[in-house]
Amino acid sequence: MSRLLLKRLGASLVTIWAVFTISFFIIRAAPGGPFDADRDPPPDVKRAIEERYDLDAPLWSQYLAQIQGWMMLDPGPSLRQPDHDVASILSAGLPISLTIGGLALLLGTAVGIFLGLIAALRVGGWLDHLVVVIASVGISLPLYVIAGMLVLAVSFGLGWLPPAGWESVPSLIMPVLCLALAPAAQAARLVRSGLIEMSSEEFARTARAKGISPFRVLFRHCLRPALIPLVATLGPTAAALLTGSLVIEQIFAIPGVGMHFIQGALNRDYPLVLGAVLLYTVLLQLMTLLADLMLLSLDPRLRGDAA
Amino acid sequence: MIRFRTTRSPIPTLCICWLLLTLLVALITPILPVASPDTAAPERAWSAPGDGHLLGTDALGRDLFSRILWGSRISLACAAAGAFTALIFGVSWGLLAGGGTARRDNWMMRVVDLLDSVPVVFLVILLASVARGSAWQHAGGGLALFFVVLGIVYWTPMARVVRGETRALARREWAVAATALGTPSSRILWRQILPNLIPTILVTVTLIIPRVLLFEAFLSFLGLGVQAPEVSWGTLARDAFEVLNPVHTAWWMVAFPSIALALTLLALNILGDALRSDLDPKLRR
Repeated sequence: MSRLLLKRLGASLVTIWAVFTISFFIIRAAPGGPFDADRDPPPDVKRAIEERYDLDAPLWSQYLAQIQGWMMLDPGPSLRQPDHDVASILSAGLPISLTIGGLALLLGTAVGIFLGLIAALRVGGWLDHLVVVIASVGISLPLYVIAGMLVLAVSFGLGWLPPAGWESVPSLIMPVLCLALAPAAQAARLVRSGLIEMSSEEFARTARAKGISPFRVLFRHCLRPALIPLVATLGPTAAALLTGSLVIEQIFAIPGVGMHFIQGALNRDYPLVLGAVLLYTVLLQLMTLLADLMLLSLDPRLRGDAA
Repeated sequence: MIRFRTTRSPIPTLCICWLLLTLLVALITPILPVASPDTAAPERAWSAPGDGHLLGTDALGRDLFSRILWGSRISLACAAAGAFTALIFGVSWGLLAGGGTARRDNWMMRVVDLLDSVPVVFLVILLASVARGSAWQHAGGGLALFFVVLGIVYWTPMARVVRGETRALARREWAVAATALGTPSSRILWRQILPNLIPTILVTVTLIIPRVLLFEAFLSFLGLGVQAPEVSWGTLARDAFEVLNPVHTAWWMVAFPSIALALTLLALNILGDALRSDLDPKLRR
C-alpha cells in the first residue's frame, strides 16, 4: 500500500518536472521576448531590464535558477505587475478558485448521482428520457453559452442575482451552477449506465427474488459498484472543471487563478503563466491520486494487488 | 438515403442534413448576397433582429448574420484541420506502437500516458500566448500554427484506439500468414491492417471533431485563439460578452452565434454516437 503510494508520488513528481521543463523551453524557444510588444526601448534600457530579470544569463543557468526558485516556492516577481511576486498573486487567487471549483464538483456529483439513480429506477420512462436529453445537452453545450443565457435571463431579465463580481454569497450562485452542469451531466450518464449494468447482474436478481424492493436493490446493492467509473474519471473531471473555471472566471469577473492565468497569457507575463500551469498540474496530480485512493476503498478487489 | 441499422429515429439523418447545410453555406459564403462582415455602420449599431438585418447588428453596426456565416468558415476549418492533425498523428502513432515490438509499444504508449496525465490544455494556452505577437503571427502563420495546436490536444485518444485494434488484428491468422509468406511488416501494417481499422477511425474522428470545434470556441472566447480581423463563432461570443450590460441588452449577439455552435455540436455528437452504435457489434441489439 505505502509502496504503491510512493511509486505514484514519484511518477507525479516526474510529470510535474516534465511539464515545467516543456513549458520553460516553449517560452524560451519563442522568437521575441515579453517586452517586445511595448515601444522598442533603447538598447541600454533593454539590457538593464534583461539584467534585472536574469534574462542575459546562459539558458541552462536560468533553467536551474528557475527550478531552484520554484522549489523554494519563491519564483520571483511577475513581469507585468512588478510590485507583486508570482507566488502572492497565485496564492491570493487559489482559495477563490478552489471554493468555486470544489462547490461545483460537490454539487455536480451529488445532483448527477441523484439524476442517474432516478433515471435507472425506471429505464425507458419519461424521467429517464428527460435525464438522458439533459445530460447530452449539458455535455455538448459550451460553458459560455449556458452562462450567457443564464446571465441574460436571471440577472438582466429578472434582476435576481448580480451578473458578476465576488463580494457576496449571491454572486457565487450562478458561477457554481454553471460550472456544476458538466460534471452533473457526466455523473448522471455514468451512474445511469452503471446502475443499468449492475441491475442485470446475478446478485441484483437474487436480491430482487428475495423480495427486496427495487429501490433498495439499486440504492444499497448496485450503487456502490456503479460509482466506480465515476470515481475513476475524477481526474478528467477535475481537468474539465479547471478549464471551465477559466471561462467562468472571465465571464463573472472573479479574481481567481484562471483570471490571472488568462491575463498573463494575453500580455505574455511568462513567470505568472508558468506558475499557473504548474499549479494546475499539481492540482490535477493530487486529484488523480485522490481518485486512486478512493477507488481502493470502494473496490475491495483492487486491494489484493496493492498490498 | 442514409439508413442506420440500430435506430429508426430520423434524428441522425436530420443531423447529417444540418451538417451538410452548414458546410455548404460555409463553402459558398463568399458568393452569397449577404452584407460584408467588416463594414462598420455606426448609425445602424445595436439594431435588433429584423428590419433589414436578419439577426441584428453588433456594437459597430456590422451585420450579425453575415458575421456568423463568415465565422462558420473559420470555425469549421479549425475543426477540420484539428481533426485532420489528430487523425494523422494518432493513426501513425497507434499503428507504429501496436504493430511494433513490445518494447517500442511500451515506450510509445508511455508517452501517451504522460501526455494524458498532463493538463495539455494549459500547455496549449501557454504555447498560444508565446506564439501571439511573435514573428510567426506576423508572417501569417498564426492561424496555421493554431490548427496544429488544436490537433495536438486530441491525438492521444485516437492513438489509443488505433493501437489497441492494431494489436488485436496483428494476432489474426491472416496477419500471421502474411508474415510467414515473407510480407514486410510495414506492408502488413499499412496495406492490410489499416484498411480494417477504417470504421473505428471514422467513429473516433466523428467524436473528435466536436471536441476540436468546442476547443476552438473556448480559446477564441478567451482571446487566445482566432485573432481580430478574422471571425469565428468563438470570437463572436467574445465580442458579445464584452458589450454585455444591462443598458444595451443585445441578447441577439450572445444568442445567435451560440445557437449556431450549439446546434452543430449537438448534431456532431448525436451523429458520432449513432455511428458508434452502428459500427460496434457489441452495442447492436
